[in-house]
Amino acid sequence: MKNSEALSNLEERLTERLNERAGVVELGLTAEAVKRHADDSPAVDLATGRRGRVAFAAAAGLLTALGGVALLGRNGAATRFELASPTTESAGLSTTAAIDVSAPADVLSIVVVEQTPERVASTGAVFDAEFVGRVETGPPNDLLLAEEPQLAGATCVAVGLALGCVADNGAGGFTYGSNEGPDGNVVIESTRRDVAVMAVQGLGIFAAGLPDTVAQVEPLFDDRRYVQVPARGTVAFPIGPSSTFVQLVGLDALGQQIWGTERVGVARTAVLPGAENGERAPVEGVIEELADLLVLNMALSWDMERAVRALEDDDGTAPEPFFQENVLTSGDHELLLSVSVGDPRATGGSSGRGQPFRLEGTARVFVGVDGDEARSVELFDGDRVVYVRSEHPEAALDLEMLVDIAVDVNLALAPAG
Amino acid sequence: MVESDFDTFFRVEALSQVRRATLLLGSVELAHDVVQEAFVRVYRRWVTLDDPGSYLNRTVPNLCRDHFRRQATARRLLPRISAQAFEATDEVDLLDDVLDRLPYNHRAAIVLHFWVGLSHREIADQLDCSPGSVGPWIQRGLKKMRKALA
Repeated sequence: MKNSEALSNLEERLTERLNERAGVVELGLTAEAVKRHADDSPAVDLATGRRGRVAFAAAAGLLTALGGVALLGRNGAATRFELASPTTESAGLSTTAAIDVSAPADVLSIVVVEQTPERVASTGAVFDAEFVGRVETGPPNDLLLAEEPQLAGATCVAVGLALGCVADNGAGGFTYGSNEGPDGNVVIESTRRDVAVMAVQGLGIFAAGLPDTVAQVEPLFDDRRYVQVPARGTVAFPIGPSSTFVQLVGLDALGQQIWGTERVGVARTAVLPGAENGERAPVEGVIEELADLLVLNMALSWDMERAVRALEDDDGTAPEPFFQENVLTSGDHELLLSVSVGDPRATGGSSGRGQPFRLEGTARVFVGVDGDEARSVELFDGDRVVYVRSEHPEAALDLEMLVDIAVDVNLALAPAG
Repeated sequence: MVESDFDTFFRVEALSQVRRATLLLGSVELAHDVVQEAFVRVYRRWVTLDDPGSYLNRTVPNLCRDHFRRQATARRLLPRISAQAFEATDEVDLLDDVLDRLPYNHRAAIVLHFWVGLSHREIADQLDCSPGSVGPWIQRGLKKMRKALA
């Protein structure tokens, strides 16, 4: 089929093609095979994840009693592992944390293993077979763990990963963990809030058992505070000694988009409004607002770099009217995005501006010209004003793109339903 | 009795689920794996599920999404493996190719909307997202397809 053919009536052609494509698929499964497979699989209660919770409790006890390093060292003789954390590479060696799946069901054991690049490559195919791949490990290297804080971070994540894996039998739950971020902080992302919370808990417990390495991750837990936004499945916690940053991770629905756009492991850090001078930020008060930023961030192809300023009440909550400015970037392009809610212009103030550039449903979009290079679009939807401005010589001329961003932002902020 | 009920359910649902998964994954083989896993889960919970059809409709897209994540993980962790290992090797229709390159959410929303004919709310239920996300996913997916085809 030619491009021009596909382009015209794309939706119609798409439907036809989907029908064609599906129509030739024949069934290669039987109910008997399904039952046999179900009977052969490990006896994990998938409905309740009970085994996962038992394992978590057992792991917590063991880690507290034995200390993390001791636990790692005790499991070196096991022969079956499931890869449980991102592989980190250093000096030609790939290092990863793995779960000992040969251990009794009520014990969670983790080892840190080293692999040569060839070995990693040779086991690569298993990623497509299971949620985490089974690898044959080299000797566990607990010495490396003690000397390498980042590796400790990876192992901490493995604790959380293990919980997620066990609870979901390797098919849901955890998607990613890494030790990115300043100060050696560990970032956890999960598609499920409950798993992410468990991982944070596991992280804290594990860190408590590693006195020699905890310094690198301690800022995460200096006040044992993290904030959950249940509606979005978000876990957020302050990072850094001054806690002037908040890292938001683990959006459920939006987490999908992180992966889909290859933004794997890129956790969003936002400067808390009003905290630039080093004051302790009112984390709880602005967490919803930051979550909104993240929503926008995921909905756009541009990166939400930072919140420039935002109005807020003394208690840190968003006031009415609410106004916020953010900077979006894509490569060297930078956009200013502002959103205001409760602005009287949203309902009637756009009059006197002439004809709108475009109508998007009930919203009106106007274009502003500021000098030779700066362009802006302003969307009024009756509830909020979304303003996008570019001073970039290329981006500013792409009015359609600016309008699309304003529309996307407005859609992303629209209440669900 | 339970066995025959499950068998009937399987006969009614299996082919359409494999077809759906094929469109979501771009691979008949992977689709069979995913659908088998979904039915295994249904089978294990058969006596407790109030609405196995609804459960299956949510599980298949979720497992497909998990597959995409694993692919992303593999790409990131195992850069030495040729990217070709993750690409379709058959000659495919141009539209298929463009569709298959979309981010999973966009692709899933488009397939469920244009092939299954679901509403945004129904899609949101199956993809476990807010209904407000579905429209933008479809529009952005179509936009990317148009751009790729232009």
